[in-house]
Amino acid sequence: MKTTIQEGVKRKFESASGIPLKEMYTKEDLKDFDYDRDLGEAGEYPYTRGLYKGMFRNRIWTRRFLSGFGSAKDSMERLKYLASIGSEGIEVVNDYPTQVGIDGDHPMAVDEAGLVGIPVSSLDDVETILEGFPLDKTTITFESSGASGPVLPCMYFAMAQKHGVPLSALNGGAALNLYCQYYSGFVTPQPLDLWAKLAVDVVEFCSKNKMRYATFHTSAHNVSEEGTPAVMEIALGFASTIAFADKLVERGLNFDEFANRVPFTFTIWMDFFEEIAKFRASRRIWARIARERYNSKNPRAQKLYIAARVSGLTAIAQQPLNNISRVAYQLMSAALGGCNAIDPVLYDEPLCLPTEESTWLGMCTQNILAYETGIPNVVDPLAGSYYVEWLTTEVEKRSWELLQKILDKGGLEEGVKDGWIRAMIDEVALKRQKDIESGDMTLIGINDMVLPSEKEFKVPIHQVSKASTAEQVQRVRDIKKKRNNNAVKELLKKLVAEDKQGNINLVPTMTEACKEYATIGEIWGSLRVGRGHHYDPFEMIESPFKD
Amino acid sequence: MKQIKVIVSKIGLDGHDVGAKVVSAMLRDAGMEVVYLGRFQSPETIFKAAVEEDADVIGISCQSSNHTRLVPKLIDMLRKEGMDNVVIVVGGTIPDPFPAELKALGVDAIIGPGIMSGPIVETITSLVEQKRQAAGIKE
Repeated sequence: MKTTIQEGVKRKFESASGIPLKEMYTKEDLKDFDYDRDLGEAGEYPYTRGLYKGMFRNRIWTRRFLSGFGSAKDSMERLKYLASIGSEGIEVVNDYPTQVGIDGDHPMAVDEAGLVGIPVSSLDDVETILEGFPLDKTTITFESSGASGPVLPCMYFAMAQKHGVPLSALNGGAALNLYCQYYSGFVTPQPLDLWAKLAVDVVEFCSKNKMRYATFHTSAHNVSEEGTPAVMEIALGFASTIAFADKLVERGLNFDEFANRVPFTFTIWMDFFEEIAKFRASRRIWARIARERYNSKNPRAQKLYIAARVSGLTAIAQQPLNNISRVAYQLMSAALGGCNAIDPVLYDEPLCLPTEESTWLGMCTQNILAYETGIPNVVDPLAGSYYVEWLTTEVEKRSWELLQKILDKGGLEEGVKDGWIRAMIDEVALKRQKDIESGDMTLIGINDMVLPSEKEFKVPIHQVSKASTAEQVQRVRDIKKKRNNNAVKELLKKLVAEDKQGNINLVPTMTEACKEYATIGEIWGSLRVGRGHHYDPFEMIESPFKD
Repeated sequence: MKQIKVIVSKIGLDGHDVGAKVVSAMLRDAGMEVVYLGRFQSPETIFKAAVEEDADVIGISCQSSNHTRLVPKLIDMLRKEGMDNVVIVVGGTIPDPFPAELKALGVDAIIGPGIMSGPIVETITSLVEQKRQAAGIKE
C-alpha cells in the first residue's frame, strides 16, 4: 500500500494556513500571554472562551443541517424529516436560479430548478415549504446571500403578516452580506449597487422596527469553500462584515442597534488545532473591531455568534464512508472552539445531495459528541495549553495583518474591481492541488490508502428527478396565471418609482408585492430596468410588464 | 503534435469554478492552449465559442449534477453542425449512474473529483490524437 508518509522523507510541519509549527510548546511561548486581557471568563470581553457563562453545560450548541432540493413540496418533506430527528431550526439554502435572482420558468432555470437547494420564485413556494411550521416558534435562517438574500426576508414578512404573526415575533434571520459572496461559487450576476441598496434596506427595516430577526449576518463559509484556510478566512470574513457595517453606518444606522446579533458562518477545515484557534481568535478579533472601529457599547454587538459548517471540500468522493470519521473530528474541533451552532457535511455529499440515511448519521455524530464524549462538561477545555494559546494568538496576529492589508487597499468592494483578492484566492486553490499532487498534503483515498476503482465503496446516490424540476417549473407558471397580475404590475411600478427617489426604504413595498405573489425574477428585473439595465441578467427574456 | 486547444467552461447556474480554473492551469502547464469561458454559460454560448475558437476539446465543469440535463443539449448542437471531431470531457461531481449515461450520449471522458493532473492530461492528449487520426489530420 502506497503511503505518502514515509520514513526518512522530510515532512513539512506547518498549519493549514502555513504557520510553521515547533516540536513542542512551552511556557517560553506564552511569555506575553495575559490571562485577563487575552482570555477572561466565558461570557465576558474579549469572549475568547465563548459567548456565554457555562457554555454547553447550559445548552448544547444548535445542531442543524443545510437542506432542500427538488420541488417546494420535496423540500418541505425533507424539512419535516429533519425536524423529526431533532434538527433545530431551519436553514434554507436556495437553488441556483433563486440565488441568482431568476424564476424557475426562466430558460436558464428550467433544467435546474430545485436541482441543488430550495427553489423559491414566489411567496407560493415559501408558503408550501414552511407549511405547518409555526412562524413565531421556528428559527428560520435564509442562508443564501445572493440575489435571494434581500428578497426572501420580504416573502417571509409577507407570509407572517398574512398569518397574523407580528414581525417582532419572528426568529432566525437572513445572511444578507454579499461582499464575501462575490468571491465565492455563489456569485450572482446582479449589479452590486442594487444588491447593496436592497440589503441595507432590509437591515434598516428590521433595525428600525426593533425586530429580533438577525440580518447583520456574514457567511465567510462561502468564500472559504474556495479553499482559503483559517487566516485568510478570518480576514476575508471580517473584511466582508466591515464592508457591510460601513454601508449601514453610512445610511445613518446605529451600529449597536443593527449589530444587536452578529451571526457569522465559518467553515470547519481539517486542521484540528488551527480550527480551534480560529474560532477562539475570531471572537477576540470581532470584539475588538466592534469596540475600536464602531465604538460599540452594546456587549451583544461585540459577541460573534459562530455558526460553523463542515467544509464540503474536505469531504472526499473516494471511499466516502471515511467522511464520517472526518466529520466527527471536524465537529469536535468546533465544539472545542466554542461554536454556537454546528452543522455537519454528510458522508455522501461529495457525490450527491444527502439521503435521509446519511442525514440521520450526521445527527447521530452530533449527538455522540454532545452526549457521549463529555466534551460539553467544561467550558473552553483547551484554554491554557501552551500550544493552543500560542496558536490562537498567532492566528489572530496573522489575520489582523491580512485584514489590515485588505482594508488599506480599499476593502472588499474595491477588491472586486481590482481583482487582487480573487487572484490571491485562486493562488491558494492552485497550491492546494499542487500539494495534493506532490504528496505534501495527504488525503486518504486520493494519494494515500488508494483503492482500485473496482473495490470502491458503493453508497446510495440521491438524485433529484426531472419530474420534481418539472413540477417546480409548472408551479411558477401556474402562480403567474392564478394571481392578480394587475396588482403585481402596479406594485412593481411603485417599487421602481420608490427606488428612483433614492431615499425610500423598499422593504414595505417589496413585502406588499410578495403578498401578491410577485416573483424574485420580476422584482429584480423591474428594479434592473429602473436602473437602466436589461430586465434579465442573461438577456434571454423581456419584462412581462411592458405597457 | 499541433498544440491542443481546449475550451473550459462552467455550464448552467452553478458558479463554483475553482475546479475549472485549477484544471485550466494544469492544462496550460502541460502546453495546451486554454480558453476559459467562465461562469453562467449555456449550451448555446459554449457551442458558439467552440465554433469560433475551432477547439479540439470542450471541457465542461459542474458540481450541481446538471450534466445530464445540459450536456446532451450541447452535444446535439455539435452533432447537427457535424463537429464530431471535438473531444468532450465532463468534470466535477458525477456519481453513478451518470458517467455511463453521459458516455452513451457521446461524452468522451468523465473526470470525477480527486483525479490528478497527469491522468487528465494523458486522457485528453490521447483522445485528441485518436480523433485527429480518425479525421486524417497529420501530426
